[in-house]
Amino acid sequence: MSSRNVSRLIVCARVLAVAVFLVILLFPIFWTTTMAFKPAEEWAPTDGTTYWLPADWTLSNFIRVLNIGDTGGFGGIVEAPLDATPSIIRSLIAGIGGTLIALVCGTLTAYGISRHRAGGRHHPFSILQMRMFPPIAVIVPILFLWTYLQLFDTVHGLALVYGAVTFPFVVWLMRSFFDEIPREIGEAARVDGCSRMGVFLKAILPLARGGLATTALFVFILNWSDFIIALSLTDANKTAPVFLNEITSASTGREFGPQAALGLILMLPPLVLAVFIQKHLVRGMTFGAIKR
Amino acid sequence: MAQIELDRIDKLFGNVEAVVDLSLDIPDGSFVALLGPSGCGKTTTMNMIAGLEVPSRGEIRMNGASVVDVPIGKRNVGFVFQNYAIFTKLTAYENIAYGLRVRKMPAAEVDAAVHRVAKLLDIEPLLDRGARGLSVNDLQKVAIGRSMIVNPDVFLLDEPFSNLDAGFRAFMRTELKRLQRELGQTMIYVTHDQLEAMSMAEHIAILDRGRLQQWGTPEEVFDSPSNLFVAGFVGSIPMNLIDVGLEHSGRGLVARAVDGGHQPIALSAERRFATTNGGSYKLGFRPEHARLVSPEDDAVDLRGTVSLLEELGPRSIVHVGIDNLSLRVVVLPSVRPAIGERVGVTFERTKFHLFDDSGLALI
Amino acid sequence: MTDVRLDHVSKRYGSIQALDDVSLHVAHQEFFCVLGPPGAGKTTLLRSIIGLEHPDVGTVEIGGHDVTGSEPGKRSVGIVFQNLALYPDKTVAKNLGFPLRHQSPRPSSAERDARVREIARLLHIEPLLNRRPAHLSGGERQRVAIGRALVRLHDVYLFDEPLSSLDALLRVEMRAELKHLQRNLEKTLIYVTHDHVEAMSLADRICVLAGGRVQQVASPLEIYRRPANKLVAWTIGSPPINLIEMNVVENDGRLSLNRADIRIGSLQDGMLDPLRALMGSGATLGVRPEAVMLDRDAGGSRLSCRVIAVEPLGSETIVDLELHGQVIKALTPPGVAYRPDERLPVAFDLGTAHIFGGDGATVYSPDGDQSLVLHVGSAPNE
Repeated sequence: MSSRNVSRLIVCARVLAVAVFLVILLFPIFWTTTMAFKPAEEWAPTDGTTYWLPADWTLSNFIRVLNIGDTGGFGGIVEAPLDATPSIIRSLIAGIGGTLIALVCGTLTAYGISRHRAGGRHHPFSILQMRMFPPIAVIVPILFLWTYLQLFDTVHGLALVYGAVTFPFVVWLMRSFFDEIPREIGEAARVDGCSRMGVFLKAILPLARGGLATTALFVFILNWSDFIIALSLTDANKTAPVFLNEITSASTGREFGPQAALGLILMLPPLVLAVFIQKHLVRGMTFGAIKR
Repeated sequence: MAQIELDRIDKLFGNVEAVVDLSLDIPDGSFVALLGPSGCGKTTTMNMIAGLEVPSRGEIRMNGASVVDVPIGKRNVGFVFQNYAIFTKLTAYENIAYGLRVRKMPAAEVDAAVHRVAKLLDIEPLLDRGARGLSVNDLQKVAIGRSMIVNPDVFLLDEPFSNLDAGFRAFMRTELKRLQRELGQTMIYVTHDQLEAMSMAEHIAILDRGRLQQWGTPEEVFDSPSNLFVAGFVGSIPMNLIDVGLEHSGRGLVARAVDGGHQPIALSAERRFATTNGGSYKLGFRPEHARLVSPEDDAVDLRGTVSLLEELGPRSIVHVGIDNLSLRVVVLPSVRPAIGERVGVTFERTKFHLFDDSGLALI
Repeated sequence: MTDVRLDHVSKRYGSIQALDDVSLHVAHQEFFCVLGPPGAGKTTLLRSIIGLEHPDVGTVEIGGHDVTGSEPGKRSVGIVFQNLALYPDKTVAKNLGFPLRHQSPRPSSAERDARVREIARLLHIEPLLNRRPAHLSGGERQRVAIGRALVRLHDVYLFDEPLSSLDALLRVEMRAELKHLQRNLEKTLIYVTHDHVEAMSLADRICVLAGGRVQQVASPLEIYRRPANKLVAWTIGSPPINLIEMNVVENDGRLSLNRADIRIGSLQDGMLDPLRALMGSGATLGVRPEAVMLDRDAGGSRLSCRVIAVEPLGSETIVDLELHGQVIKALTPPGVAYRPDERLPVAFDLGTAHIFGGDGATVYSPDGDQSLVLHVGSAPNE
């Protein structure tokens, strides 16, 4: 085989590999999206046919899961009403709250580590070690503690745990962003008369905007999509992922359609946040400040 | 050994013209400097010769054969960078030996080569020291040794001495010049410091904004700059440049300085050229070729007031202000005019330059 | 009265002694240059004065007040950092205005704008006020950094190698501008550089710093004519002074300097006593390149050296010669063409030579006017 054909073959193989990867990655999204618009007959077919695309696009799943109308029941049977809205709100509160807690505490800690060598050589790493094992390993003690503190089954209690669990990520990420900012800019600000906090807020933080935005998005996604912690720490005050899991009915078992609809709705806040954050992701922020 | 030819090279980065219509003929075994201010395209040109960049247009030939498609690894060029790029965890010996070891040369030959190079650079006693323990000056020598040892056809150096202290830099210049003569390799040295270029190079290519301004020996670019840019750039102390109008009179060519009251300055030029009476020209003379005289003296060309005195040790520079103009004159340390004193300035008639309004030299 | 005084200041970083018992007094409104090779401790010195470093030992006084422990922003000292440290996310106008926001009492926004404009005009950067540092040239950024230091009326200004990254041509031009600027400002200015021409040109007094120690503090001409030691002599002058180790020998009551086949017998009168004291130990002869004579001016000199390299600089030529394994540099007028490997007769003009003892300290420097040395071949002015 000529070398030209061999290289063509290699290119084809690469394209194929990428295509396969993409299919695996995107298939769940595709399936969920199409499922959300299928009527009950199609997401729970009795004759075993698989509907790849809805033959009969409908909004009935959304109507049902948000309790905004009457779907007239499924298959003629009237089901108990579902309302996911309170759980969505709780997810937002816990998610945003937890993100803010982690960002504030984590950014300040990261600054201390980066600039003032807080914690010496060992403690900073031990912060990260906190997150090396999965939260589920400590969920039982947290459960006991939260019950004692009467934080069990509360949104704010959940937000606190989210904050604590994502705090190490913020420290880890923001520390490296702070390390990138030349030391002399902070010194110039001190010389110009800023207090220590002033240096942080006015000189350094504006330069770490991009890093902060990225970290915020990352952390929010983690908190927003959490299932296991919410499952353990809530009962009546569920968050949306937990709620979604429990959408079952006597007649049809798991209600895939409404679940998919809720899933689709839940994809939206991170997307909105990402779009919002785009404008803060500026590259080469410190160009021109320092000469070689 | 390599003779290098650049044939009408262009290099564009997006819309930015980094190098425009550059043609150079670098003789085999010569020491050539690429001189110019930052952004002039000298580093880009060097990168193209090395193979790190590909010209947008034009040809590069080494020893007659086109090398535009030859990747950098196969061009046999040696590099010495500004920040020496030494492997800090290895000893000086291992750093120098690196290139040969990568080429799987037998250990005994490697050893002989390393010692030969170290002797040439006068760093033999330092061979076993870790790179961390070496001074900046020695590190630069190790960097040179590391590039030298593989016997490249061309040596490319990018301002390698800018981190060294001034005294040592003077000695490294001598060393490098001596080395190049002994090894006979073609050496291309990129710098923005005209002193370095003048001191070391046999030929200098002066670049500005991507275009070649002049190609010549140090004497040529100093004594006969081909345009205004070269005249102002070459020389430790910038040339004095005065706007003048020219007239042909009975006595020959006469210049009238725009600043300084249009005083006539007789230029006894041997040649006549096509000059328009009154057109705008620039008269240039070097501070070293000027003298301070009493303002009443007959031979005075220009009269002004002393605005500044720089006493530099072996000589001093007097700044003379004339209207909007500021001239520099080099004087002996014993000459110490007072600030505000009125003085006269004359310049040597065999050593001035005239430039037309596009900047080209007439004399 | 804003003078600056350092008293026995020392600072150590790990195993490196950055400043070693440094004591200095910078007078009110003086242009004081600190000159030295890279790593000499110059930046540490500035940082100690402004308060970004605290000395291990010793005190810093500004205008008579001990400021050793106080915060950087409170010492009434402005600094231009070596690497500028401009705020990249802020425009030039905001960069210049930033220090004013922290002045107490805080000026009104109109006052701040006026001041920013005034400084911008002084430094010729008015058209750039709305640009960010990324869109400025090297020279423009330099001026913004200088402007930011000047915008508040401090008592003392510190400049850390402000011209070092500029092209050679721009540097020469900025030098004259700086000199005019300092005169107009009427402030105490401490200026750090490794370029001795800059120091000679700008300073009222120069402090030569090397290895964290003060080598000499004196006026530029004093340092050039009477360097305190070998190091100082080497630091000033381009090309650097030739330092030749020799032995002091006495024959029949006559002293001479010997080394291998070199014998310098006709010594200046003033040299004899100091040399006698060095007999038995070594001495170093310091001859500036201007004082190394070749060809006809060397007359009947029996010393002949091989030319290693010739460096034509245009206005003069440096000839590198080999003297018993050492490189000697001679400065000659342009136009004479020497060739490598040629042998030339060489003589030293001892009227301007220095003698240094075994420890490097100066034992003898010539008296009188430096103008006795002629640039070989050129006629004297006035």
